[in-house]
Amino acid sequence: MLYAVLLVPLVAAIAVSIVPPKKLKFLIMNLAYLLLYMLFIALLITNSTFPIVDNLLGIKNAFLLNSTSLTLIIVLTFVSHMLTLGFILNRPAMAEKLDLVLLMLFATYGIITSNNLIVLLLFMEIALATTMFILLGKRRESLEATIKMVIMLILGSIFMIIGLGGLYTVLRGQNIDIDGLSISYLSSTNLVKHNIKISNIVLSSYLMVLLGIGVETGIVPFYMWLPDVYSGPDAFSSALFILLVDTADLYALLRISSLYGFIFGSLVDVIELVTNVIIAFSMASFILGELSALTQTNLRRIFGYSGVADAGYTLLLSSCLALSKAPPQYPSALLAITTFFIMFSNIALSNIISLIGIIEEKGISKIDEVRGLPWRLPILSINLLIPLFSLAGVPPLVGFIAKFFVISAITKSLNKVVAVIVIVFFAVCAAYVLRIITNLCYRPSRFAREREFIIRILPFSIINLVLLICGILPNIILKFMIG
Amino acid sequence: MAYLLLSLIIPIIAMPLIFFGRKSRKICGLITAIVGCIDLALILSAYLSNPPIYVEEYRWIPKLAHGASEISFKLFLDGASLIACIATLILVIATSLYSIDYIEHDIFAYYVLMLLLTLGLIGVFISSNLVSFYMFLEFMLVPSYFIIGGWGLPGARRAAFKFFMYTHVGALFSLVGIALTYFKLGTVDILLIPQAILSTQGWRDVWNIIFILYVIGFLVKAGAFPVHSWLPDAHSIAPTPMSSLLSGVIAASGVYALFRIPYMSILVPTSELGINVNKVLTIMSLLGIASIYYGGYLALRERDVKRIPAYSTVSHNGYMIAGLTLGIASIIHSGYASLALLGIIGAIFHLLSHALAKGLFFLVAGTILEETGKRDITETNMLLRAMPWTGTFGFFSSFAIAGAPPFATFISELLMIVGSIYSGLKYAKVFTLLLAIGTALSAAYALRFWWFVFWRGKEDEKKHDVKRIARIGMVILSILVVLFGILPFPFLNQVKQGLIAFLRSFL
Repeated sequence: MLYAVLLVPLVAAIAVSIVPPKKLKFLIMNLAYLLLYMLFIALLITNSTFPIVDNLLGIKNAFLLNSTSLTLIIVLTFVSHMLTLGFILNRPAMAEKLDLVLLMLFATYGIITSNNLIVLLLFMEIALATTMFILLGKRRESLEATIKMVIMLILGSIFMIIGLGGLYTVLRGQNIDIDGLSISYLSSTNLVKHNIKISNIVLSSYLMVLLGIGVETGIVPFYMWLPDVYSGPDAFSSALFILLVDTADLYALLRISSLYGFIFGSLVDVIELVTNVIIAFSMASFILGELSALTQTNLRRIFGYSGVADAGYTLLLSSCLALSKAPPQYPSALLAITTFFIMFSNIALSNIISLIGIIEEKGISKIDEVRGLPWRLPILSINLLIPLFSLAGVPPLVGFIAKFFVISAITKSLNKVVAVIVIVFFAVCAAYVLRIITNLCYRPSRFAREREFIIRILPFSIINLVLLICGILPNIILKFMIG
Repeated sequence: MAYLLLSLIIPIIAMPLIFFGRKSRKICGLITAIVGCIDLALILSAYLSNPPIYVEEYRWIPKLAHGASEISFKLFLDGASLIACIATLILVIATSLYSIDYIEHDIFAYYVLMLLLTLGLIGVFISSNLVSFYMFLEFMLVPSYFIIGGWGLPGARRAAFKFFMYTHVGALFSLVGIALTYFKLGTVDILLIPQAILSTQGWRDVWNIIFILYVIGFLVKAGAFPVHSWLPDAHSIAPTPMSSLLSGVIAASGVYALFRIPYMSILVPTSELGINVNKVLTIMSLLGIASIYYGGYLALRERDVKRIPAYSTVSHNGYMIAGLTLGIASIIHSGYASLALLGIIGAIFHLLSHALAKGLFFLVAGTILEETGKRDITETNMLLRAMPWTGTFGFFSSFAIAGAPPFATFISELLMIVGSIYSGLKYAKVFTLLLAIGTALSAAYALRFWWFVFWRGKEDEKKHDVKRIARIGMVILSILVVLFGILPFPFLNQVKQGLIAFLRSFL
């Protein structure tokens, strides 16, 4: 079943790339999504026990699906479907990129479900290649952003390969399972605890892998490419990247960076060291991200820096997970609420970027240019306000619950001073979002009201509805995520 | 019957009606007022069906940590929340009627925001769960922000931004407090926190941090000294109906939160564990008294017609904070004997009496500004003859703010002053004296306002007075501020019964 889920977008991508008529491409894409929904329902009905594990070409336990990752996949699939529909309705030329969208979905599934570091790296490379082709456009900024991204992500992959090599040497051919299967073996055989040399190799290799994945998610100091990817290419392509690849990468970052508490077991010094290093990098990321967002004038760049901040918060949450020392293959409440944060932050961000993409066609790209938009395009403006408020953490939208979970996790696991610093920067986030809202709502428009096609905005409205419903009734998702 | 849940749903149901009636200001205003009436009926029905504490509970968030409980969507109503809801809904009715002639553009948006604000306010006062409480507290910011910025006087955008940021940052501190409470006690239910405190090891080490986090958040919301700077700007620049609500109940929601969470839920059981909280109570009393005098002093030297009531709110919220603090000290010192409860009952009742009086005061100030175009009270001439209705309402509101009998504020202030005597704190008598002198300060600026605007100078030419529909709302407020002063007993008794039932559960 897991294989079927993985293969549907791949096969659909191939089919879409072969057939020439746009309408047929559109039909195949929708059929693929429909099939995926049916598979998800089948998975939910038939598999009452998680995790589901699958092998790949002799690699044992290459894929692992637990209730948290399955929920993530289902939500991302639905939202990506809505986004793609929205894109095609607004810009039919996007149908040419449908194969890449499906391929990106395939890579996303791979990153989320891979349980082996080599398989993870493989899917990250597929994601990189797909992202590169999706982001590439005729604009100079698009080309620059893509080149920057490719260089940085290749650097990230190099770090990962070095780290993997180290781990592979020590493990002498054992599986490198992310979710702690062979790493727990390492821990249980006291290999790490009693051999300083091996311990050092494992530590440095682990940090290399972490560094690699940190680069791929835009952690400070490797963040420079991320705001460019948000602002340079076509908005719809950026939105898909944020929703699928960025979310999957952040989830991978969360799983890998949270492992050290489990790997190093009772080595208190090592755990303290790694925790402090991670906290320092994460704080640097969200402080720099939020403050930079505050100073930007380009709408998309503001959210680009917000993405850097989100990576920082995710890294911080990973140390909470590590300190909880829960066996990573079983979804804990902490993993669920952390994933909840990543998922809904990126859904809000991708919806914002998509809607900015629509208003960019009216010549609006700077914060000062949005003034009076509700009088010009009221339905679109309301749709833009909802994810903006969600990002600011205003109830009853899901961003509020997500931020409450972040603060809860940090308060429980880390220093209370860190929690206070986090809330200060949540307030900074609210400030720049409010700056946009203030510009949007309180200034008279120079333009008359324009005709809006509700059907074109409907998919984005449905995503907003998800943000609202999950904010009011988070139990619907959380209950299942926790399993 | 799910009365309380229904009271939250009714404003949402009314939104499509506002859409269909958006062409008529009168219809929109009346729909909002009717929603206020229906909610009031629901709230009263809920309370009367099971006094002194009525509870409704719905499943919401699964448990987030080992040993912690599920976070349910729990709504409750006791004497204190009943009083707060009544104050809110009466003000909603009065301001909706006032808005009919006041609000001229974007009618649909305005009334939808008013309904959302009503929902948020009621939610704050009936939430038994800290997370949903916080959710409603923050949710209120959105409609408030848009109403202030969209329909306010020049400079409204800046004031709205300041209001949002101040209160949002403050609220985030309380969010950390909520998270800490949840993980330490395993519950966020206001009604169950005291028992959880008594049965939790290590509470002694964290209570002060949690207390400080809550206090920072709620003092900002209440606009108390020294975190008050958002309040005069927002209150004086907001559209008049919004100023009335802001001053009457939105800022007071901070005081209510202070009473409900850090005081009743955390401080009282802390003393049961043998922790000495006298220092904390003394500091909080001093902060309250500082607010009374600082706000009062600024109101006394202010000449702006809308900034006077704004500073007065800083002062009166300080009154409530000091009254509550000394009331809590009385409970800690002497248990829940009748006299020890006087301070708290007085402070809760002041929430209602101040809301009615200040709501009316702002409507009067807004009418003067609207009709004369003058902000400076020294520039207005004797308006009593020129605007007899406004003058009469001005008389009611000014004398009520001054704390004169037979107005409801007289009773509430008297109860707080008498209650403070039993606080058992080291400087209790000094605090009582300062509270008593504080009322004189209120009387000074309130009567100065009335004197300058309505009585002083030569007679002014005839002006447009309050319109008929707006007048209905102001008449309601005027009658009630007197009626509750003459017949306060039913309300005071309900607050007392609720308090005793709650305190009995753990003391």
